[in-house]
Amino acid sequence: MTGWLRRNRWGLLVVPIAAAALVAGNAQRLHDYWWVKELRVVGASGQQGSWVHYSEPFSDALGASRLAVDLEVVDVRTVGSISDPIRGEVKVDTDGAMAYAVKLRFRADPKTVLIGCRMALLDAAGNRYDFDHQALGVAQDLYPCLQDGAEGYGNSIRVDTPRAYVDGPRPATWTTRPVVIVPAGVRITEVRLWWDDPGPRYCRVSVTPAG
Amino acid sequence: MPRPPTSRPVRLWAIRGALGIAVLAALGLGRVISDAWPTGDSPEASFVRHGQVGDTVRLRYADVSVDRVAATGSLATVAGGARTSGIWLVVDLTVVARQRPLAAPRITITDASGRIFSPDNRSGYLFTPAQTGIPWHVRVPVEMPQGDLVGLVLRLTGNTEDNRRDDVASIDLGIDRSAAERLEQEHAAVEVRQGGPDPLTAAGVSS
Repeated sequence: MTGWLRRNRWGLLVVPIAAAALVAGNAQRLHDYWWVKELRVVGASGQQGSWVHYSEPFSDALGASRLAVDLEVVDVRTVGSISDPIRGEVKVDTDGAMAYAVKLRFRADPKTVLIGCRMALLDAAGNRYDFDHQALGVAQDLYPCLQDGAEGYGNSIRVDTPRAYVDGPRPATWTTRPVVIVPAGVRITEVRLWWDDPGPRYCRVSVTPAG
Repeated sequence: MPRPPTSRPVRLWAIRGALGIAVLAALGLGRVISDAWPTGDSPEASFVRHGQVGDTVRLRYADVSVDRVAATGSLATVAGGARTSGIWLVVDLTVVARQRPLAAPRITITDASGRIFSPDNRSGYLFTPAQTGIPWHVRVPVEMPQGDLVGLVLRLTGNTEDNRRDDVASIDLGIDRSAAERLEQEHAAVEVRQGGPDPLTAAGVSS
């Protein structure tokens, strides 16, 4: 037996490497169909009232770079109405539902592409309530992290086309106030923001709602 | 005179032969097992949760109930109206998403002979993401041929692509022959609007 082991020692040494290569060679399916389908990796975390620096890899037709932004959850509170650009303040009077407004402050290089951000609120039980810019038929700004008309640059979708403003330039600092509908009585404990939908990286901020 | 020991090459060949037979036997046994207890589609099958009109069907991602079944020849939509030479079956659903919003379920109607009918945009149907925990009232109009309403079943899946090993609701709409005749007599236009937390009012509105 020892003779056989000695004769085949190089082959035996290669077996685990080959097995690992075999699995790794097909692992892109795990990545594509499972890993990136959920928010799994906490890219940054912080507390309400303090700045959080969040960054993640970013790529478009011009190549790979990084998305980087500082953000602060200033305030989370229940509100009785949502602002609509045409209809004015629209009351939230749906049975079984209430609304939270999240005041956010941002600062970022005006050249950084930040379109496509998403936001959700979570309660202590881990239930997730997503921001919907058309909730209850009210038109809010499309992205919870950007003001409509001041989104700054969008992705380049062609190799020979430089990034262009989605609508207008973005200042170096700005605030937003997205409103999220939740079931009545729910108490929010976390604000979550992410860009690459659906995942896996996200930014998590612990909050204590007022009002 | 002592017998000469079996020569080394002969022993080696015997071991190799025995190993070969053992491998073939294992393969044969595997085949016998997989023939005797075929897996069929069970490794990929959905978990079908059955229900009736009025039942709350509990799924991994939502509670679903069919509240009302109606029919009409014309729909009142935001874009104007949608008529049909067949029949618009109109199913009112309540969906309560669990743990996270339900963004894009697939809702279809299967008839007694297995044909599948889907809602389409012409009817003004649009599923807006159902917020977690808030009862979401959704009106689903499905265009169907006349005379085939008996035994219809509504099927709701959590997404439009992949429901392997996931919950699927299968709700019998409870349409027998007399109910089918009654539905085919309904002509009042039905208003369609996108789903939301506001309860749906009576299906028929005057056109």
